[in-house]
Amino acid sequence: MSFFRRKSLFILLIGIILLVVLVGYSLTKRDNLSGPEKVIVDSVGWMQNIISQPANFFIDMYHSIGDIKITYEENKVLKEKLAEYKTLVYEVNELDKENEELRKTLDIVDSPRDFEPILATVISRSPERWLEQITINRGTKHGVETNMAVMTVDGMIGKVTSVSNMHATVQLITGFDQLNRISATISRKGKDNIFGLIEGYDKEKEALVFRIMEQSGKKVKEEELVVSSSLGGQYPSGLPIGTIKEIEADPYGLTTKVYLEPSANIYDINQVIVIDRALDTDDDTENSGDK
Amino acid sequence: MKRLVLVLILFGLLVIEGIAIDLLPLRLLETEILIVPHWLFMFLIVVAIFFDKSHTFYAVAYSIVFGILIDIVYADILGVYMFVYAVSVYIAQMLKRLFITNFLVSCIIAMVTISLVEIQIYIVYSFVGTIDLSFMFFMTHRLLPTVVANLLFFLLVYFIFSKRLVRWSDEELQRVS
Repeated sequence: MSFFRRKSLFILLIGIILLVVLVGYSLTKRDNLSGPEKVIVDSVGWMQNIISQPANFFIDMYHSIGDIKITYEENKVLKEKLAEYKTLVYEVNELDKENEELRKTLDIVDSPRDFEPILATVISRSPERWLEQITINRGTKHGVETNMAVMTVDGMIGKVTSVSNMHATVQLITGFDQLNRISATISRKGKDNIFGLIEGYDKEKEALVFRIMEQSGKKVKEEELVVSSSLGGQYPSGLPIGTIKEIEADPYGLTTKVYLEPSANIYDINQVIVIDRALDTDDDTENSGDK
Repeated sequence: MKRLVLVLILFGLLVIEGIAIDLLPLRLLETEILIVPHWLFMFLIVVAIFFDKSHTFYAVAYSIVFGILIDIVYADILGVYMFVYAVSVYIAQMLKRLFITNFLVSCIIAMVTISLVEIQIYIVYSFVGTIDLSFMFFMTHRLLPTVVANLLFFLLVYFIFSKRLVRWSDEELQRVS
């Protein structure tokens, strides 16, 4: 019996060493998944693809029972919105045309706003809720790369952390930590945009933390929209991220801490858009430096 | 080959864990309460209790293989689930030897080991720096709801598989020895 105990202790020690090695390996900054990982992610993803379609159908049906109750009220509001929308579409078209013409006269072809959308379906969500990641059914073959921004129609939801051939893992903004900051701006009319960084997600306040770097007496108001900025060199500008919920002054008075309510509902995601920035990332950082 | 059937069931559970969270009502998801599905682990516990004889360690072997699969597919940090599942399933098997396995004892083993899994994951992730939560917050908002929710799944698996696994175990493991 004592021999057996010694043996199991020995195995436990080997296990702990293996754990430390594996955790250490996966925490080193790696851009690509290793070969076996890609194979496993792809084969499990293939199965999930098959299952997720019918499962989502039933889940949607189950959720929509609650929705039916408010449909009538919602329909009224939507009809009003739709009427406004029609005039808006016309306006946008005009502005688009004008913008293009003006660009041509200025000889600027690419703008940091441009992007190529890659449509994808969410096939699974990590059961480990602390990590907040989802898997989508688009991968290297479809042009997805690490660090691309991912959004729904409502706004930004996260970024691609790892890619295999046919699938990609997306880290949701609610799982962001200090290592993945997003440069963002509060967009205003005129020139006085306010720049800052999204630093992560406050789990106890359930809000994104947005730190405003410059303090030039510009007042921040609640309910203002925060959008991504191209200055970070990773994302195109103009993707909505969230609206301001709460403002808190920093104890040192140098920065302002603002809490944001994410504009997209990150719990109800089916279709997402992966954003392939039209501008080459490296070129752009140089360009923005020149300006 | 009943062992192959077990592998297939485990693989199926691995796949559907990915959509498990969508099954919860949206209103529950928007609160701070975190319910984490450990369906694969619950099945492994049933295998450890009813399939394994005292000298075999199939459940531990499965937990190592499927633990690393969970790490690769659902968590970018490798090794955590592999280690945690293997250790907890081993503890479940040790506990099984101490008592006569009836319904109540099985439930208690499931509850104890699922808590162990959660606490170990909390410790490892705190060390790595993925999470920064107080232990009390973790206890009330994640540990308790998760244990209760998974116990429901355990009951389901228990009633479907416990008799069957004992029968399979007799067929398979006698033939081997």
